[in-house]
Amino acid sequence: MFRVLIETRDTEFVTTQICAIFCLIGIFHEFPAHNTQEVMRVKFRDLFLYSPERDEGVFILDEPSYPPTDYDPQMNEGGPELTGSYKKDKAAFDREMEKDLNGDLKIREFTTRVAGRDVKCAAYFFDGLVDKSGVNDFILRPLMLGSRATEIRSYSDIMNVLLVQSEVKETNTIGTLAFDINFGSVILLIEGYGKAISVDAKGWEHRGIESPEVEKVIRGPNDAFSEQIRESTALIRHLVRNKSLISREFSVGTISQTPVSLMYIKNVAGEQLVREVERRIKSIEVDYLFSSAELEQYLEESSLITLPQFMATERPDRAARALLLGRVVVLVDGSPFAIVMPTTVFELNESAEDHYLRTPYVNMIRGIRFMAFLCSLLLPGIYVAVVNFHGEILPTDMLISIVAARDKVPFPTIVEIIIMELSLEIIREAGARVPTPSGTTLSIVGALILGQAAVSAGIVSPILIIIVSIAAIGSFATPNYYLGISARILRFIYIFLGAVGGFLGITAGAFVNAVLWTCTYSVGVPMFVPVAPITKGGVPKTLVYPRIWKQDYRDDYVNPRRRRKQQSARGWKKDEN
Amino acid sequence: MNGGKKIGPASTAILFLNLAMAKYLMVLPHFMVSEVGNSAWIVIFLKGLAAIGLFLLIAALYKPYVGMGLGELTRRALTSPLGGALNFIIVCVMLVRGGMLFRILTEALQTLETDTVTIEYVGLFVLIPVLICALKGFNANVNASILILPFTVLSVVIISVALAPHYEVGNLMPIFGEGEGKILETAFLRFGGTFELMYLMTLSRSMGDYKTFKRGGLIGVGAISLFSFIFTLIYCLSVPYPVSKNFFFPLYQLTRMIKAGSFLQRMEPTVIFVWTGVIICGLSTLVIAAAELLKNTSGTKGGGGFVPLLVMIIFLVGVLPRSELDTYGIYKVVVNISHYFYIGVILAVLLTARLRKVERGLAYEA
Repeated sequence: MFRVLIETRDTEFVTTQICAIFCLIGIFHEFPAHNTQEVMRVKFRDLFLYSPERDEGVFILDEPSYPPTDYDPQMNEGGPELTGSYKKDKAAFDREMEKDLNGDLKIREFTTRVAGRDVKCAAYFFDGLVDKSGVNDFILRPLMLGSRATEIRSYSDIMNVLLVQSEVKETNTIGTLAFDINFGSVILLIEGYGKAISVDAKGWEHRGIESPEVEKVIRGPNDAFSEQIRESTALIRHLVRNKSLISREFSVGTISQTPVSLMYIKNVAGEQLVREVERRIKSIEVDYLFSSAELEQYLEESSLITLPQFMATERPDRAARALLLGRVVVLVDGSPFAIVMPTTVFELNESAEDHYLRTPYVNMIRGIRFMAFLCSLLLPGIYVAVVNFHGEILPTDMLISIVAARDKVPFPTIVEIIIMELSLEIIREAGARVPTPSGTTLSIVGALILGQAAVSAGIVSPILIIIVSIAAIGSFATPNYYLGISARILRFIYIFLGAVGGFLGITAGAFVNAVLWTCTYSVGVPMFVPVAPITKGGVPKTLVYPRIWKQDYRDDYVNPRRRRKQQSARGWKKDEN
Repeated sequence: MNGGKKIGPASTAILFLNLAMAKYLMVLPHFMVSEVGNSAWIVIFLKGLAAIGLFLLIAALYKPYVGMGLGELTRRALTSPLGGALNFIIVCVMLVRGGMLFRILTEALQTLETDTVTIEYVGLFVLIPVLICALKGFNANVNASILILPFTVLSVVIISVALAPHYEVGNLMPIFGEGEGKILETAFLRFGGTFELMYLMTLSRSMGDYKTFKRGGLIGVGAISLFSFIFTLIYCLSVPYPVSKNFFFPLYQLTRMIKAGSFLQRMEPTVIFVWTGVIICGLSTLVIAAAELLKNTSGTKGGGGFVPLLVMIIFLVGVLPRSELDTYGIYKVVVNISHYFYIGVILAVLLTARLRKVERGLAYEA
């Protein structure tokens, strides 16, 4: 059928056949009576004449009708006030919490004794969100038994005498109660009180503090952030024991109400930077937020540039260091990664280990990393360019062996390399999705056996396997995961440019890449600073990692309030003199 | 167009260097050798000294107007119609020069790539980045220049070192080449650096204050003088006269002479990276400067709209000459005339502005 399609010159026939194929694969099975040729015509027209009114596409003929909803974006804020009548308030709160639908909502009704008489009480909490033994021992037991053993003269004594929890508050708006209960509080409705008491009893199951998965080091500390925002902020506070360390709290997500923490050191971070990050976080109006990776995308300036614009770290020591260097750190509840901002492309090439290594080691490793990144980005493209355009650059013997190796390969170089790159990407993706033991096996099978089989079958040449492998290893050597992905994407573009324009194509691509990357900003700070644009003293420091006792100043491009970070790093040396 | 951010002296110097390198790496040593023989390196040295003196003179005259931009100053000094017409002529000269430079590069690249591709095809790889860079604005151009310069300098240093076995002091003899008179005439009557200076003045709106302009310009003139002196000296030392007269692309020819053992058998394709990078940068600056002049002339708010048009004109001008030799001929004429034209325009505008006591423009105050 495809052959007929290709060979025929009758356009109407071709169109009909294309539409028939679409019908066969089921795209139009919902619209059997629709004129398929008309649909195709409209579809192609729509490709060029985009209109927001038509953005559902032509295949959706009728506006889908959704059942009416009582969804209220402000559902977690304010709401009706408690009436003071236990019965009415309980009924209202039951309704608010969808008692009949929520299986994990637990309600414990009991009586307590206030001013010599028994009053009805109801404790609401979500099973799994609270520490049950804490609820039993420190909320229910004092209210049920303690109130009878101790004299409770008034309602205020419940909070002051009976409830020994650290966080207890009273409130009279149902919306606030609903908000608190979702954050692991126990809500107490007490007959005759007129208000409700919210007792913090968080105690859900979570992962503890573990070793870093991505940023492993040999000499540094080995703890990583966890999904619990409080644990993460505490880990930073444990390292920066200073009253100037500020942790501003925000709630992002109209429905999810995800806690977000903006951390900075008041006397170090630039005021403008803090204000800007705060402004951006506050401006986010979305229904939900689950991860710092999502938040990153809401905060970044250029979403289509492959270059990551913030640094994500799972290490508290790295985040603490960034804070001390005048950056701000953003933590999101439920995400074990902190976002460091602003960041530069040179910082993305740094690993967590760098600060724990001696200067000569760091310089060597950084150089190797830079070369690895360049290999990952350009090597396959350069190979294609050399084979297609600049064969003379290679020694004759080598050229002959490359040509001989390619002799049995039926494809042009670009096809050959794209087959290999795509295969590698598929293996990588598959390896990431399957369980760890199988993932390792899959990588070995994919890389070794398939590679060898491809060479034996004459689909690709042996030298190409070497090139693709070096490029792949280069992307793994890049410390920042996103930067590695960026190189993987751009590699395809450089392969294409190398195939169509040789070194000229690669240079043109690299120039455009440089222009686009240098125009990218991280919270207003150019990503290539301090090199492009140049800042005073920034270039030597970027090219050669200075000795630790020479790193006297913070980077000026973040406008820190306190520029100098060490006064006399090696005072003993002066004493000797 | 400029993104509203000012650049410092180092960035100004690098911009100047990149602009000049586009010319020096492509053709200048060949031009000099064909004019004055194997004493070209002396001429370049003297031209460097003259360029520093000229820059100091013009910087002093330009002092009150730094930050205004040449286009605006021309309009204010010579009144709108006359100033506008002059700006338009400057743009035309720039475009002709840019077009010829573009053609020379594409011819060289075509030689290096393969004969099966046309110069129009090669040209696309040059002009698309120029278009993107110019549309992104002045700061993008400066940043790209900063990233490219180290590679350019490094490659020239590597070439210089690798060519050491070919250095022959005898190639410099007779030391005064075509004669002292010719040397002095070429060095002092043909002003060097005026082209780059005009760009700096046109784009001075983005350069902060006079100190930045003067320091950046001076470092730029000094560095390019030193660089071109060394490069021409290497050329004269490595290639005997009159053979050196016949080489059109000095960098390419020098690279061909390098024997890098069995690994990189022929190194000349590697010069593509240097040439293309430097010339794309230079052409982008040219387009940005021309757009700035047109913006000043037309009174429009931004110059970005002119960029695609200017890039297209450069392309069309570039493909007009019938052959490479014609291109060289035209370029040589344009360069020789434009020296006097640029210096004449700059001095005329500055002196008129001084005489008419033109006040500093709004751009400076902003």
